[in-house]
Parts: sequence; structure tokens; C-alpha cells
Amino acid sequence: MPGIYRIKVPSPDFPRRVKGHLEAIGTGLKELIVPNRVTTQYPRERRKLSDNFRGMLQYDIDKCISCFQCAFACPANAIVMKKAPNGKYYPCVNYAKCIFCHFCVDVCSKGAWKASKFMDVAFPDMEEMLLTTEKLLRPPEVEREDERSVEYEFRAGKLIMKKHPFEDITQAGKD
Amino acid sequence: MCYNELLSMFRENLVHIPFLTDKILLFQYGGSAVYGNPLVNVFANVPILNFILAAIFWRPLFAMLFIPGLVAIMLVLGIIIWLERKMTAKVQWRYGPLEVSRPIGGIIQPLADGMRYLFQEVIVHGEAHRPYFLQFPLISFLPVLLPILVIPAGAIYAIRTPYAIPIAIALVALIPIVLIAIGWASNSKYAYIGSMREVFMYFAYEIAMIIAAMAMVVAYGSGDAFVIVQKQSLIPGILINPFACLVFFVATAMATARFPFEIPDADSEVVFGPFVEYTGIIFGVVMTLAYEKLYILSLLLSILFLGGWNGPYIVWLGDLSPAIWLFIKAFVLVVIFVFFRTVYGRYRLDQAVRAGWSSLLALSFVSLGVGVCIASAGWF
Amino acid sequence: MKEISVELPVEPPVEVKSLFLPVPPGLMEESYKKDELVIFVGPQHGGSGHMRIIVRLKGDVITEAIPDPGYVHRGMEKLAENRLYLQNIPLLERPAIMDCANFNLGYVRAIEKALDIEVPERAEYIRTILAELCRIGTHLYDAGILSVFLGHTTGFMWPFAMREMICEALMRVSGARITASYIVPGGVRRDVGRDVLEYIKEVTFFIERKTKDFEKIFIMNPVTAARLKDVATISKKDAIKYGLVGPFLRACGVEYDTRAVEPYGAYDQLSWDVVVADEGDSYARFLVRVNEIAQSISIIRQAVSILRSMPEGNVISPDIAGKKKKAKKKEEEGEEEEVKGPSDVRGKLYRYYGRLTLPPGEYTTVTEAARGTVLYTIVSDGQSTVPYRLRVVTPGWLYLKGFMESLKGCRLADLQAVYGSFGYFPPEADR
Ligand code: SF4
Ligand code: SF4
Repeated sequence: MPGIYRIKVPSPDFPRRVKGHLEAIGTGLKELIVPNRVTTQYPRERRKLSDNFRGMLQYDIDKCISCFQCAFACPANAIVMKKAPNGKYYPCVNYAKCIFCHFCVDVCSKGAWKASKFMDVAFPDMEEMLLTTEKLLRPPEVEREDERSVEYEFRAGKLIMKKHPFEDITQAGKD
Repeated sequence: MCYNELLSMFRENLVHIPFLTDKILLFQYGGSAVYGNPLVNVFANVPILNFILAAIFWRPLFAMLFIPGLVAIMLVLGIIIWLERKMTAKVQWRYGPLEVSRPIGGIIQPLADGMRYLFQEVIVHGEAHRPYFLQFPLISFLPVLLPILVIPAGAIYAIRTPYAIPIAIALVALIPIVLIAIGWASNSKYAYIGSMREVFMYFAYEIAMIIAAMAMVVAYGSGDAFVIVQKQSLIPGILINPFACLVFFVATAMATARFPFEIPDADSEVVFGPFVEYTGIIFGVVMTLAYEKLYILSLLLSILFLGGWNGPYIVWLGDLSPAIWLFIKAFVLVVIFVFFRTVYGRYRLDQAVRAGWSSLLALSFVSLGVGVCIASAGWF
Repeated sequence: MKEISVELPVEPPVEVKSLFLPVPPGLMEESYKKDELVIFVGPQHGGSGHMRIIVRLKGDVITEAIPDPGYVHRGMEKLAENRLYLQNIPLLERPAIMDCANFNLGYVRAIEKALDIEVPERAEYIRTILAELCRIGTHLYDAGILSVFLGHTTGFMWPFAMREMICEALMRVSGARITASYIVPGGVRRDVGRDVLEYIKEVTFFIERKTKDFEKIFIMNPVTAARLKDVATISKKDAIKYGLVGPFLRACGVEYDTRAVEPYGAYDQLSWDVVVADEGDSYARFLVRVNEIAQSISIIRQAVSILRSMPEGNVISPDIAGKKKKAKKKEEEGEEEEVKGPSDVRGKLYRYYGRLTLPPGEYTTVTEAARGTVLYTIVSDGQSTVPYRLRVVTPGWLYLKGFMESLKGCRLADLQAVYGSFGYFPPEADR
């Protein structure tokens, strides 16, 4: 059973207020002199994503058995099954609807869906956002400006922005 | 002829800046010295150009146009808006504006912003009082620039009068009236509330500020900036009367809507108050108003308390040397005011007014007492 | 002072009618007569969020505040009625950004209640960690909004930077930064590795260290204290009357926390305190949440160290995975075997949850989300794979009344301070 922790709301008197002002200004000055930056400069640097990152989907047509389960489970109705010339049904993904929940990845018992680390994608128009099966299979065009990736690490409560060299994000996350 | 009379009038009262207006010793050859021709003399015989050059370097006009006038104000505006964002970003663990000109740290960002404002549509909404709505932002430059007439920067000055400090403060006190007029012309509820807040703040700081300034005038025995600065050559005024300095400092923060008194144009409460209806370049103009006022009051603050243009004389700058010392002091003050943005939120209106009428006013009377004591003891 | 009312031929603006504003009839005319100002704060306003507050001002003092919520109403309850139980998970974690785990947990617990299944211990601890991470994240988010409403931009940026580390932790756990969709009926989707646990622990130290600086620059800043102290005070009686919830109720001196009263997750096995304050003003509401961050940090550290000593795997209930039946069969055959759940749902999500139907009935759970009690009720008809009816009551909706009542007598500038002190979040209230 948790205990009760009753806090006292301070009502600072005059010397305490002066101290508060000085402390606030002191903290500001300290940060001004020794800045602790946490932001990354996005197009030049990119945050290192964890291996289980839920990015765009990668599809492996050879493993798919057209079981329709991914389309059935998709919460956003982003997956539609389209009939291919060979008579089988294959999924298409509408990225206008997809919410990157990766239920489809977890649903597919054959492992036909895989996650990738792409997340900053641009489509020319709304129609393009519907990736048909052929488009899904085609490797995406990658244009990158970044030279390094940044990883947040901590040592004894201090943030260390670890810089990694150019990271390959075209590969699917590890299984 | 009028032209020649004017020209000679200008020429009699030129600023002394080596290279530009003074003869300089180039080298000595044997017994005779060879002098270089200053810029003003090079064109001495070209009809129109000599007139223009002489006019520019004519002391009063130089004071108005360059330092501490228009160019200095523009310089402060250009740098301080960038510096404010950069400092705030540093304290807030970010980089701040960088992308516009990466190698020089994004310093031309204000220029880029100005360009954006310039080409943005200026919307005058239907309810606004159109002529006044468009006029007041421009009229607002008058009370900002007029105090420069009586604020001298060393040898560069426009008008020397024994009432310089009172006149400057009186002229600065006109700015809120323009702001209130802006809010009235906007004719919107938020602008109305913002102007009312401006009025209240005006009453909160103005009296204390005037008393604090007068305390120093009494202490120095003169309202003439030259006398004031000269008397501070040993000890700056801040050490003589720290109360007056504190009052003037806080009142300046209140007057220019700096944090923690950013009350009239609180963006999350009344959405920039009097300026809520302004767009485009006119918004850019009214937005810089507070910075300009801050600069003028910082000039006054440094003249009254920080020894004005006292500083080591740099020979090759000539008359510019004291002016630059004054500018540096004022600029540092502006930076300090701007830095408060990162450590403070804003007070409520009633709290600020209460502070203005109680502790600030009381402190200003204390400072007046100290001033009278100093004057009667004759320390200066 | 005596007030003289003047009959002036004034017409209220047509927009009051044409925009269907919830202004009671006659209010505008009355305010004109009484020399009061009616201003509309929001929805396009820097300090209103996605809602409109109709404020009646007498001078600078608010005499009445009428909320006009609903600008971000998404009809979640109706949407949930034609989605599978599984598909509702991403939907129902979206009311509150950053509070995904608590909202998710409430819904999932309702399903577990219906199916009457036990959740493996490891999964319970992981859920608790996630819920507390989201609680810290939400409190930091609200602290940031409060500070920017008070004009303190540093106080806005710092909590958001700290929250970024929590987003990163959520990403390492679940793969998504804020919409984790990680808690599923019977457990969690994936096991959590040792390195991730290590990271989470380090994040708590980081936040603890940075909160000290934040305290100096914002929390204990005299300007903040002046703005929040004795503003919008709610008495204990009124707090109960208006139905405040969560930290805002506790700030009024009521010692109520769902985690303590009806423990769920691993809360009853960890030691922590319910943070209470007596003042009931805006400062108390803020400080209660600041102190809750410290409590959450301690909860997370305990849970992490317990998880470290636990064998990995077994994060999904064997009931869901269909192993119980097999085990029973084996038991009948005389073989004793410990039933262990899987450590990953990958490849089996559909098999586990695709055809999930709940037995007929009504199942209600109460969960302590960051901003207060969130209630889920699932009504199932026993046949379909979708809920017959789903009821979500979010904390924001519950304390809106108290928020509006407390505004009376404040000054106009206090509107934003009170707003921030309540951490009111329209998308959460509107669902
Ligand atoms: S990630 Fe989620 S929303 Fe997107 S296609 Fe897969 S199941 Fe549908
Ligand atoms: S679940 Fe997997 S195998 Fe089944 S249709 Fe989808 S991709 Fe193909």
C-alpha cells in the first residue's frame, strides 16, 4: 500500500525571493556559457534509430501466401489486396492511411512484411501514396544529405550525443 | 549665397574623424610633413557632392544619422534580434537561427525575416480606422528619434542644453501614447485590452522612472549630459546611487515590455496586444518599436549611471571614440535586458502595477533622498 | 460603487448566432448593459488550445467562463464500434499524446477482465514502466505548456528536451516514439532487452538531474510562484463536488489515486507515495505533478531492477497463446510442466487476437492516467469480434467543469496560467 507524501507549497519571503531571482539568472548564465545542446541538425545529421524502429514497410513477395490476414488486421484499412496477373492476391499499402502500428508485420506468419528505418518520406501527390504491390517491391529512391547519425547515450545522468558515421538505413531491421 | 553659407556653416562644425574629415600626417620627409587629404576635402570642389558630404559630417546631422542615431539603431536592431534568438537558443539547448548563413552563424537572419515581412500582404481589416491604422506605425518613429537630438555621444551631439535628460525622458514618454493610439486604431477587443495594459504599465513605471532620473540630475547638479558624464569620470553613478540605478533599470524593463514585464503584448494572453491586427512590414515596424525604445533608454541609463562615454580615448577614431564607448555600454545593457527573456516568465498586470506603485515608487523616493544628500554634501 | 446601467441600442454580433456558439441567450445584451466585456478566447488563439473559452470580463476580472469544447472530437466511441478489439488499440491510445501507455492499458485491462486472464509478471512490470514513462512525459509536456503560457520560453524547451529522451525510450521499447501500441491483451508485444532497460534507467537519472536545473529556472522562480500562487483556488469540498480527478484532485487535499485504491499492473508490489497537497491553488496543482515525476522515477527504477533479475521471455499470457489447453491435456496425462508464455507476438498476432470475442456483459476498468482517471467500459454481445459499445471517459472531460468554475474571480491574464496548471488538453477531453 503506497504511503501519502504531502508536499508543502512554498510561499517565499523576501530574502528567499531574491535568492530565487539570483538562482534563476545564475542557471540561465550557466547554460549560456556552457551550452548543453540536445538537438540535432536534421538534414545533415540524423537520429540513430533503434533496430526495432517502426518505419516504412518492406515487402517480400516470395514469402507471401496471400492469406489476407494483414489486410484484415490493419487498423487503418491501409492494406488492400489486389489481384495480380498470376491470379493470386497481393497487398498494396496506402501510406495516406497507414499509422505505422506494424500490426501487419506482427500478423504475417510467413514474415513477408519487414520493417525499415525510413520515416521521412515525401510523395508527389495523394495518388502516389497508394503503393501498389509492384511499387512496394521496387526499392525506394533515396536522397540523403546526412553525413552522420547521432545516438543519445547517457553516462551517470549526463547526455552524450554519440556521433556515428554514415548509417545505412535501407536495410531492414534485424529480426 | 544661401548654398555657400550653408556649406561654410557645415564645414565649421564637422566631426573630427581621422581619414574622413581631418588631415592626417602621412609621412615626414626631411623637415616637411606630407598630409593626406581627408575625404571631405577630396571632393571639396565638386558642386553637389561637397555639399552632401559636408552635411553628413556636420555634427548635428552626423549625430542624428549615424551615431547614436539611425545607423546605430539599425545596427542594434539587426544584431540584437539575432543575438536574442541565439542566446535564447543556447540557454534552451538548441542552436537557434543558423540555416540562412551557416558560416557566420546565421547573423543575416533578421534581414531574411525583414524581407519576408516586406513581401507579406498588409491586411487592413474592415473594422480598423484605416488612415490612423497605417499612419501610427510610421509616426511612432518620431518620439523614438527625437530624443537622439538631446542625447549626446561625446563630441558628437545635435543640441547641447542643460535640460537634456529631462527633455529626453519627456520625449521617450511619448512612445506609449503612440502605442495606445495604435491599439485604438486597430479597433479590436484584444488590441483594446493590450492598449489598456499599456496604459496601466505606463502609469506604473513612469513616475518612478522620472523620480529616479531626477534624483541623479539633482545629485549631479545639472541636467546637461556633458556635465553628468564629466562628473562621473572617477566613480560611475551606479556606485553613488544604486537605488536610482535599480529603479531606472526595472522601469526600463517595464517601459520596453521586456521580461518579466512583457505584459502589454503578451503573446499567449492577448496575442501581441495593440499589434494584434498588424501584418506584413507594418508589423515589422511596430515590432521593432520596443527595441528602439530599449536602445534609447539604455543610452540614458549608461549616461546617467555608467559614466556615459567615459573610456580610453582611441586616437585614430577621433570623435568616434567616445561615441563608440557609449554605444558599447548601451549595447551591453540591451543584451542584459534581452537575456532576461530566457530566465523569466511574465508577471500579471496587477502585480506589475502594484510593484510599480509600492516598492518601485518607494525606492525611487529613497533614491531621491540619496540624490539630495549627495547634492547638499557636494560630493560632486 | 453604484452602478448605473444605460439603455443603449446595441446588437450582439451575428456570429454569436450564426456560429452556434454556446452563449446563453441574453448574455451578450446583459454584458453590454453591465459594462462588461465578452471576449472569445480561441480556437485560433495562442493560449487556448483547440477550444474556445467564452470569457465575461468585469474590468480585468473574469465573472464567467463558458467552455466551447469539441473542436477535436473524433468520435472515438463510435469508431471503436466497428473495429476489431485488436484494431482499437491504436485508436484508443490516441486521445492524449504522450500518454499512450496509460490509455492503452485501461482498454487492454478491460478486455483482460472480460476474458479473465492472468498477465505474466514480467509483462506487468514492463507495462508499469511504460505507464510511468508516459506519466513523466505527460507531466513534462504540461509543464512546458504551462511555462509557455506564462511566457517562459526556456521552461517550454527544457521539459520538451527531457521528454525527447522518453520518446527515445519508448522507441527503443516499442519501435514508435509516441504511439507505442505496445500493450496487447494478455501481455506486451515484445520482450524488453537488457540494454533498453539500462537506457531507461539512465534516462531517469538524466531527468532527475535536469529537473534540478529546471527547478531553479522555472519551478521555484519567484515570477512563476507569483503567477500561480493563490490563483484559482479550489477547496476540498468543491473539488469533490465538481468531480476533479487525478493530480488536480490530489492538489486539493484528497488522497485518492486509482493506482493505490484499485491497484493494477505491478503497483502493489512497488513502494511509492501518493503525492498530495492541501492548498488547491494553481501552484499546488503544478507542484503535485512535479513531485509525481520524482515518484514515477522511483517506480521505474524499482521495476527495472526487478525486471533485471527476472528470466527473459514469457511476456504474453499462456491463456492467450492457447498453451493452457495443451498444458492441461499434458497434466491429465501426468506430465507436470511449467506453463510459459511466448516472448514475442510476431507472426501470431492474428492467431491470438484476430477472432477475439468477449463473453457477453459489461466490463469496466478505471486507470490512473497522467491527468487523472480514465474509464473504459466495453459492452460485448458475446458474438461479434467488435465491441457492441465502448465508453471512454477521459480525465480532461471530467475536470473541465472544475477548471471553468475555478476561473471565476481570476484575472484575464490568469486564464492561461490556470489552463496550464490544469494541463488541459482538448484532444484528450474531446476524444
Ligand atoms: S503498419 Fe499498421 S496501419 Fe500500416 S499497413 Fe501495417 S497494419 Fe496497416
Ligand atoms: S499476412 Fe503475410 S502472407 Fe498473409 S497476405 Fe499479408 S503479407 Fe501475405
